[in-house]
Amino acid sequence: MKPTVRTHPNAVVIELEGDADLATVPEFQKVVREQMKAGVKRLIIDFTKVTFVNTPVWAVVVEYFQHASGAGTEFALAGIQGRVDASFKIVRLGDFITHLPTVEDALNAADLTSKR
Amino acid sequence: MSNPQPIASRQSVLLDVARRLSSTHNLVELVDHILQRSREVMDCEVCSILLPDGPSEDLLIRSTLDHINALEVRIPKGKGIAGDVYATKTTVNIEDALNDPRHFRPASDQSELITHAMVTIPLLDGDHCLGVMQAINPNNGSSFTAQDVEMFETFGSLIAVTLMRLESQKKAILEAENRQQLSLATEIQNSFLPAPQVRLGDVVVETFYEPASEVGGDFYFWHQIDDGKILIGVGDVCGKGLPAALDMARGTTLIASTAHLCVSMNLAEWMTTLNKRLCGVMKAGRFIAINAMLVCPKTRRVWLCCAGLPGAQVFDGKAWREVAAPGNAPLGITCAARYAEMALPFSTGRQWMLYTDGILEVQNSTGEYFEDAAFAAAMQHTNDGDGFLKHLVEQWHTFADDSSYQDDATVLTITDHSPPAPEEIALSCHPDTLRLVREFIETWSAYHGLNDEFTGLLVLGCDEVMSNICKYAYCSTSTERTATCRLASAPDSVRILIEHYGAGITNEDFQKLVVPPSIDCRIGGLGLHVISQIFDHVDFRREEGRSVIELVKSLPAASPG
Repeated sequence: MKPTVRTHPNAVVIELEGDADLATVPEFQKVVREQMKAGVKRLIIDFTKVTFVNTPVWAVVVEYFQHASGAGTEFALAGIQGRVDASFKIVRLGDFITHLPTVEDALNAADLTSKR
Repeated sequence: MSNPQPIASRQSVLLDVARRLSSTHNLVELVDHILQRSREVMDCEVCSILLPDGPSEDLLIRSTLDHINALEVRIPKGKGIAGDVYATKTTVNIEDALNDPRHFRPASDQSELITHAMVTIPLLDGDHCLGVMQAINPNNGSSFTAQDVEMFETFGSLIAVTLMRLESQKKAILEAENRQQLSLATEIQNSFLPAPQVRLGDVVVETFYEPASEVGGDFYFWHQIDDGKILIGVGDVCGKGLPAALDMARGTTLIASTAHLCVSMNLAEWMTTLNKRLCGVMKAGRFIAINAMLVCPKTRRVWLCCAGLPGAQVFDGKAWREVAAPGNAPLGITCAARYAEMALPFSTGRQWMLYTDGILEVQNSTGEYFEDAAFAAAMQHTNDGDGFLKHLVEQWHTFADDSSYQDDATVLTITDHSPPAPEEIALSCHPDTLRLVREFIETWSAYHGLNDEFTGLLVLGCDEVMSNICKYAYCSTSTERTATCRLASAPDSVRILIEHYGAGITNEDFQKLVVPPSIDCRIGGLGLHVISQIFDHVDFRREEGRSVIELVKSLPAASPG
């Protein structure tokens, strides 16, 4: 799984695909950290095409969330469904991190922080 | 002297009659001919033959007098000289019948005949009296001579033989007609049964079907439905013969016409629907016992609904055992009946068996029932299901060798020929190889009919364990990175054993390290949290230099049928 970065007028979207596991963490972490450095205003991670996520991947998400909270960056997850949703619920990240059904929802949201 | 005819002439008539006796098949025509010829030989006014008619054994008179025949005159059982001769089987020769105390003239006899002399002989088949013959009023004398009686008795014995031959022919014709009807009914009934053996993908259905009479009430069925499911079953209609065959035809027709409903209905709902329809077409007091099974090769699930027949059996690779499916009432009794089913993974066994009670209820020559001990012995066959049906049928036939089968007997087996999923994977533990464990669990779960949600959790939980082994148990420079993952199914749970040679943790470590998710600190121990959330039992231990992680997850409760 190689993350794809798409730049929109008001946000950057990191699109993941397939199984997100320990083997894919280094590449994903690299892309996320690049966005931290870039100081984007709004970052959306798109899970629409993801079939599996384990905790090392969620750890990268949490790392960015912690960064975003301090940097004032808007941050959201989108397209979580099926088995990914089961994993997301067990780690209970939905209690803290904004998550929306689709990328479009996240792009069109006025203020992602209010969705938490 | 009553009869002036020469002996040779009388014998010639006798021979002519004898020839006629063997050439005709028409009883009335034959009797009339005999009566005419015997009247000639006996040279008398009237000759009659009286044969028992119907269950009352009244004697029905056939005479040389046409108007007597037209009136169908009967002598009640035991009445008159004819009744006496019929009962005593002894010839009576009397000169004055009118004044004989046994004389009886039925009211229906409107003839002007006045009986004087009369000889009455029994028509005998050994000890059995077939009827009597009478010669009345000799033309040349006041009584019949001993020679007349002897001649009449000779006639009588010829006629008795002929009557027996005709009776036997009539019986043979009736039997042939019955056989033809039964054969036709069997042919019609068989047309309602599908092929006795079929392969539907990886599933092989085989049957043994033996009706007690040519037309029985047992049946079996299999239907492949549009969505790939297979509906299978055996049935037993109450009663035997043609009524049972008709109900069997109704049952199989309704099953065939409603099988497609199993695409959207569960098996219990389908049985409820079938029952309602059968209640609408079956006569009061009649019913059908059916054990049905729905197999979904795609999801590898099986549903069982047992209504009035012995429980289904399953062979799990080691032994046959009865499936504890809920019992239901036979179909066709009441529209209000509701049916319950049992859902199981198809992998519960490689072979399944449905059968009717005729298998158990057969008795051998010593009065022992097959179900007493022989059935259990026959079910000891453990050759991985191969040749099981042949073996069972052989045992059953051997047991019932000298007995007449009391009931129809049907057995249907379903054999799963799909390749079994591997139960273990060994790998070099590395981030890039973890997907192999996930694929292994997916394959195993699919074979065992586990649903997607449950499988997803197994995959996630095991992946968390394997990820931890990769990250922590083996350091980055470790050359030894072997790990194995073994899965086992139990009726109510899945057990996973993961083994590796790295540094493992203890149960105490696990309790300390597992932390609920928190966003305030850097995430850690989240994998152990996931493991603790997914599995009902987690055990970390060391065994002979290996670290062992045992994980058990209970299966979701079966949905109520």
